[in-house]
Amino acid sequence: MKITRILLLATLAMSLFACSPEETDQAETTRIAILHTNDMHASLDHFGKLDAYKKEMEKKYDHVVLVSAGDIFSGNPVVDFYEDKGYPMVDLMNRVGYQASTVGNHEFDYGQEVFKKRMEQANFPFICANMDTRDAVVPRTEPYVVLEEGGYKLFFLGLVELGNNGVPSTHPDKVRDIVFTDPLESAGNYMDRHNSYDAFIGLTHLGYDTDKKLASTYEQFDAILGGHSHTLVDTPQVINDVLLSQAGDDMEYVGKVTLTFQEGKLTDRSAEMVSLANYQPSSPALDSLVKQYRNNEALNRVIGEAASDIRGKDELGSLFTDAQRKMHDLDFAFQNNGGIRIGEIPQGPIRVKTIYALDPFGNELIEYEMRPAEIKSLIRNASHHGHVDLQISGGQYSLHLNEADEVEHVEILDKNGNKPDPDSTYQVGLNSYIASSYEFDHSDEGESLYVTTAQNLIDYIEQEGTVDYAGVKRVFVEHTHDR
Amino acid sequence: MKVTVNHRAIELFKGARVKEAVQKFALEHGNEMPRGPYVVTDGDGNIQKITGRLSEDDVLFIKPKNT
Repeated sequence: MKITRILLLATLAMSLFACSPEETDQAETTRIAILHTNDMHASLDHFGKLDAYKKEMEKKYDHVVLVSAGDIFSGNPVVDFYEDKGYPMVDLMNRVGYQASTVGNHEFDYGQEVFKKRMEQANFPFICANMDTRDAVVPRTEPYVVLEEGGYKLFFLGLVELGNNGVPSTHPDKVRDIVFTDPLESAGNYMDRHNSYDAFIGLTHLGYDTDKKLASTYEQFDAILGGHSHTLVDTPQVINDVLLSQAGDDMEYVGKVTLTFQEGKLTDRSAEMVSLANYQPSSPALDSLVKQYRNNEALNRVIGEAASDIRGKDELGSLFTDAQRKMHDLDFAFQNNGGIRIGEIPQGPIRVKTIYALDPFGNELIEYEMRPAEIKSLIRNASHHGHVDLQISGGQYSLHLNEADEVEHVEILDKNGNKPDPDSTYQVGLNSYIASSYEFDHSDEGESLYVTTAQNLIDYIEQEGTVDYAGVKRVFVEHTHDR
Repeated sequence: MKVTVNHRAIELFKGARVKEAVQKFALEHGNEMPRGPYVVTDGDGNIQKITGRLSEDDVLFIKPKNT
């Protein structure tokens, strides 16, 4: 049901003003606050603050609804390596009282079996209207949920983004057997229902630009609460009479959309963005639980063993790049020395936390199809004044320097000791920092494999069991003028 | 994939995030990077967090933080 007037409350400074109508509430007026978060990415720290804010709103509003616009998982090793991956998020969301969550692309990161378990443990439904799981491990999700508050029916439609390959931005293996359909087209299947509900809301994980297209296409929405692009909409926006909101990420902010009903009709909508920074956790028990999860022993979990000390850039870089190449069936992989952040992995058990110390940046693995000349351009440009910067897997390379220590030429040999065919292309793995911060020739634009290099290392070491890099060296420097 | 940063076309790998767009912009147009703290916004002025995933033709602006 559309209304003609939209009250937009943008800033924190105006939040008191936003709440003032509660004090002069009239009998026929019902105000419902919809609190929304998105892209929490396994951030635990602000649950106590969110709970405190929610309790405060429950005193001010007739009804309070709490929903998530997806990507609750993935991004915090404390949660990602909990024994039941992702469970701390579901537990805390249950305790704070979430009532619905859209399926985000990162919900699949732990695999479908794990997502299925988390769905079963959640006291709230995961919703998605453009996903068909009938042949998949993930159970069927409802396209929407209707929450009844004070006799008013609030309709929330879930939608998830799709990348160029037609599936959400996660590794394609993670969404095997799930059929996805275009979110904007799928939304159209539900528009004829909007008059059956008192408020018609999109709870989307599409990214802000796509939310704008959704709003432009379907004026039936009263509001679209979005996620995926991590956009902080601190100045509420209205497109096609649809109110748009998105609350950044990591639960630093919570969005609040206020719906005002008078005599059975929705008469006002307003939106504001609230920083949780100044709230104190609601209860010692909840705070204590968060701390308990944060001190997760899972980070001490042993993932494999180092047969001997893995020391220095050559050995550690070889481990790094082998993990990239072997886990993704690539021909070559490269790792920059600057991204290797500890000096050694000592002989003995290797723990999860060691990998995050080794590789703390959250870089993702990117795959390129490259010719040898392009690979050489990468190595050459990275090797200023003969300084070795890149470690390699899939072979070895030599820098040949002239008298001024400039790279005269680069020689690459594959793992069999042969020169790569100059006319062939090779699958090459680079981390996202190299991909965006190094100059190199490449005709292929490259594509993320949607796995962090740290996670990839953990997977590799777990797969191998024992790793041994004693004495491994694959990069050589030769001074031409010495010959 | 192409995105635009401060009116400059930037080529990125598919699936890139805001932080990679900033890195690439700094690589190619470093002298145009704000000095000191900065924020990244979309074309509407909404703040973009660095982990946000980008799509083809997205528009970003890198601005000094306190302006």
